[in-house]
Amino acid sequence: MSGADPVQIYRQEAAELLEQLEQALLDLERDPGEADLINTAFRALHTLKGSGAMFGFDAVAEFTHHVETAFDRASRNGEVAASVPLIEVALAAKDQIRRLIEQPTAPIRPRVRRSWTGWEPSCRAHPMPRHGMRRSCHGACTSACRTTRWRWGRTRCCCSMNCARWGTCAVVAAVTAVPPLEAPGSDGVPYWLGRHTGDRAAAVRPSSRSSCSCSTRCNSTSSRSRAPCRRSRNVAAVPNVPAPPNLPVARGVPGARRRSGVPANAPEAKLALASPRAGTAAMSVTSQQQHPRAGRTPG
Amino acid sequence: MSKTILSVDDSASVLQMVKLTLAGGGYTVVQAANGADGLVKARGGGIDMVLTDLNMPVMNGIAMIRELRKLPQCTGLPIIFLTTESAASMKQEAKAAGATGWITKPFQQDQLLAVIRKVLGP
Repeated sequence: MSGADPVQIYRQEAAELLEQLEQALLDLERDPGEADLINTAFRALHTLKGSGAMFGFDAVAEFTHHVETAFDRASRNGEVAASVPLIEVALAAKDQIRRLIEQPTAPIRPRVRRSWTGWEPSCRAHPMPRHGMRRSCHGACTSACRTTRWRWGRTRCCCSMNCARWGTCAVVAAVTAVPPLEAPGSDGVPYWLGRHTGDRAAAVRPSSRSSCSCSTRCNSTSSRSRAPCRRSRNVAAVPNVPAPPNLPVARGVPGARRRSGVPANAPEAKLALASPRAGTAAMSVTSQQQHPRAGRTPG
Repeated sequence: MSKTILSVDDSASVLQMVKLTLAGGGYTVVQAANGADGLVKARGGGIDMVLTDLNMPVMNGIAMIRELRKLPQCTGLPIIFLTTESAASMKQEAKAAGATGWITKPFQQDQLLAVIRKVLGP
């Protein structure tokens, strides 16, 4: 191999490592607690990343870093369990790595990208602090949270709690992504009508598509049974007080604060409102609250 | 007479890259695929320096260094880590085990040669 091209050697090596990784993951599915298998998967990912960065496979190195981090937490730190969901996303990631080696510009499939949220400690720019340390992320970490969990609306409460656990966080609403107030939703009802006029009929009006019947147009799976989701129960719990005419989002914010785990009377919670179409930050919440289950009472 | 460097890494591509780089600098390279293999080759003697990865199967780099430092002929041997790891805790552990230096991958060929010349002399 004295005259062999190192890049070509890397390609062959990567193919072997991916096979080794796949075998380790399949064996881990049968025996999730096996430390040797976790270490084997970690080492394969580690070598793929390290050698990839050395030979110009930057996309491989960058993507593999996320997977390796999860297995590092499982193998060396024991922070996460090598559970079936982790193994499933790792198998999907393995296929993505193979695609990136063949074609470095191959797009990362959204499902694979989304699936990594939660296994990583946080975004790369703001690594997860160790226990006992506090760190301010100032909203930058929302690049990891907002684009996946918050947008898809499944576990935004847990996401908020995780952010709060890191220390002081800034939550910034993406007001430019909010549709105009008069824009109709998929069921023909103006987007904010059910929340801001107290129109309960609109809030529970059957929609034309099989989505949740709550007024917030979430994608809750409870829609199939026509049962209102938890979000609609939160909306119903808001007192039916007419909204001030110049602050159309004011009614929505208390509900949002309640869902995000920041109580309205929290001493450190700050709230600033602007017009939702003004193009400026509409809401900022600062809190150092922790989830009640984490051993501290909120506010 | 050229000096001999033991290169220990579980990645064949990295071993090849290191070999090409060091051969270009006039050094002789002995390769090993893991810590246990490296230990065997170091025991054979004739090694002037060790370049080793950290995460390897069978025996990792730190365990290999601990064993090497027990050998009389290796007590003063320069041992440099060549790894993607960059955590301060790992560096501390490596230093405590007897490592001389630390180079983070991906490395520049010139940088690697400069470090080796500094340690081994021209």
